[in-house]
Amino acid sequence: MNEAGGLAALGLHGQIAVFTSAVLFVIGAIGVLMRRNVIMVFMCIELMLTAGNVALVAFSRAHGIEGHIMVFFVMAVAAAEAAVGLAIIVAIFRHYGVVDLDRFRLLRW
Amino acid sequence: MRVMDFGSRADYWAAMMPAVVLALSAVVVLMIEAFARPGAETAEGAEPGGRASVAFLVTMYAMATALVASVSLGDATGPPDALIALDGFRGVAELVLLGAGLLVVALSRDYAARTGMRGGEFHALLLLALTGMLVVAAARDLILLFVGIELMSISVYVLAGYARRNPRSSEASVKYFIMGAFASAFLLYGIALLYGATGTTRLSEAALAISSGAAAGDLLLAGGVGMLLIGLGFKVAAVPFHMWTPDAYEGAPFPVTAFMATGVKAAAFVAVLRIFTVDLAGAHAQWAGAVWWLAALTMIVPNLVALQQQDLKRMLAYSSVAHAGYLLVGVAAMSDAGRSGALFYLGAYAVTTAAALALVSHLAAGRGGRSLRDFRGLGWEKPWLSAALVVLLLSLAGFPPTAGFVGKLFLLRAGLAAGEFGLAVILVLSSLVSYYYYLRVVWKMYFEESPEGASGSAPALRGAGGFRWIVVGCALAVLAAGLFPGRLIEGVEAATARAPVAADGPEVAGVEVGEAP
Repeated sequence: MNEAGGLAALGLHGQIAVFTSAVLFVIGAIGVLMRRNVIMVFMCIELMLTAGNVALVAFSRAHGIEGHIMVFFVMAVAAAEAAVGLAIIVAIFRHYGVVDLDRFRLLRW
Repeated sequence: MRVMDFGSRADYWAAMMPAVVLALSAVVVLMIEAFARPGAETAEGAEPGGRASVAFLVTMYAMATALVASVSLGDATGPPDALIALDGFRGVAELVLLGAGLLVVALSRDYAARTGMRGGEFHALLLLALTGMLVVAAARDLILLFVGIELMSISVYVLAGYARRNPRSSEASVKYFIMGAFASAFLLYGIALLYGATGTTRLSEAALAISSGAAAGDLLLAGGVGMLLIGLGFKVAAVPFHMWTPDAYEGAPFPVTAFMATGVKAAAFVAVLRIFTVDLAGAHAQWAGAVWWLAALTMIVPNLVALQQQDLKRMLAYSSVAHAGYLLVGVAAMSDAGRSGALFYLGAYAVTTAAALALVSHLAAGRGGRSLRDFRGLGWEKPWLSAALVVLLLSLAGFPPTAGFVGKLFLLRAGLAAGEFGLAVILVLSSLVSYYYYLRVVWKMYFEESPEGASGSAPALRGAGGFRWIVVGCALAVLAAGLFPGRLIEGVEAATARAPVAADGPEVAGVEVGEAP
């Protein structure tokens, strides 16, 4: 099961899935860099994690079960991250009354 | 020599015993906190120098137990393709991580007594983060590595915002969280690409696939290695990815800053050292150039920015970024000497930075501010603590009779042996630059007049929980390790020498049956 095959081993559908995941990842990364609202930034990060999941599942077509297993771990981790992240965002909203990254500027040089 | 073949579940429990101990203790600490009587919760903050809280004692005990468990695994070996590493590299890494944890918790009592910080969740989260770090140190599989890094990171996001009534702490937490989660996404996608290129998440098998040339799709491999480097670069705060570091370090409470600067950085570096210099050694062509530039920039930029910092905590934050650059020289060297040098440096740096941050926090509280001006004339008022701070700063700068100097020499030698002359020159020059901002503190402390009424402005502070003993002890240890480094160096080199080469078979001489310690 472990013979490495690269993209060619995936077949057409697998390749489409990998490219979809790459597009998702880039959209998410651009969103993180462009958006200023913390909630939107956070959603873009979730999009990037999902892109990773899609890629893992796509590669699992060629390489066996490990990718699927990892996806479950990633989903659990992403859920924990969402819980903590939203709590942090609530905490800072209480101080500033906004969730705009540009407005958090107590700390700068 | 104990051999674990991971044929039974007991072997997994035994091999992960330090992390198991910490995780269970974290639950215990949380439960203690949840069921504590409402009146008891200020016990830690109420009386400086008074009795330690239960959470503190359980935490210290848990970390000491984990350390014993880790040491008792020192003679164990496993098959090279095992899920969990059993080698000297892991042993030394766990020693550094648990030592940093012990030191941070011991030093945090002073801060807690001064600010009334509540201890329960702090200790529980710290234990959970430490669990994640030990998992990172032991992981030989990308899934395990990801889970360990996330367990560590998520706990530290919360810790950074622990003083939640302080807007700076919340801001530090948000910035650290956004950047950390962004980095995790890169890490995950890098893992996915690496999995696509090599067909396995097991690092030892990936190493074989790469070195045998079977890792098809140069594009996938290069992309995976690059993304992994970006993700871990954020975690170690290497320069293009360091922008969260000064903010997060400045805003977080002092014990948390110390923990982030020592434990988190050490754990991330352990992962970088293990993955890049051992398992991805076959893909050296893909990452060597990137690591070279990361190391060079990480040595140059923060040292220049630190020159103009007035806030001592922020200055130490930039200094900690610069130290990541020195450590990256050990990665770029990609040799046994580089690995053992980086581990030694991590140990020396962890002790020094944790003690220096705690000391700055303590002294700044007595002066009502932690900017450079507030430290004028301090050397004559608090001779012992100031002397300790001088030793620690000299060690960070890398002056001769200190552990920092030995560590830098070690890294320099490894870099030169690997032919990285450019990096060696940058290391020396940027260290010279860094002398300025470290020694400026010393100058202010000893050669400038104390401002009017500075010592009277705040109540005289007694360090709580043996604070002064610990700090002076750290300074002495740093000096001792600088004066007599021989045994330490030999120990680290011996431990990492039989480390992690995946291609070798395990030593099977003197077989004993593996069992739980």
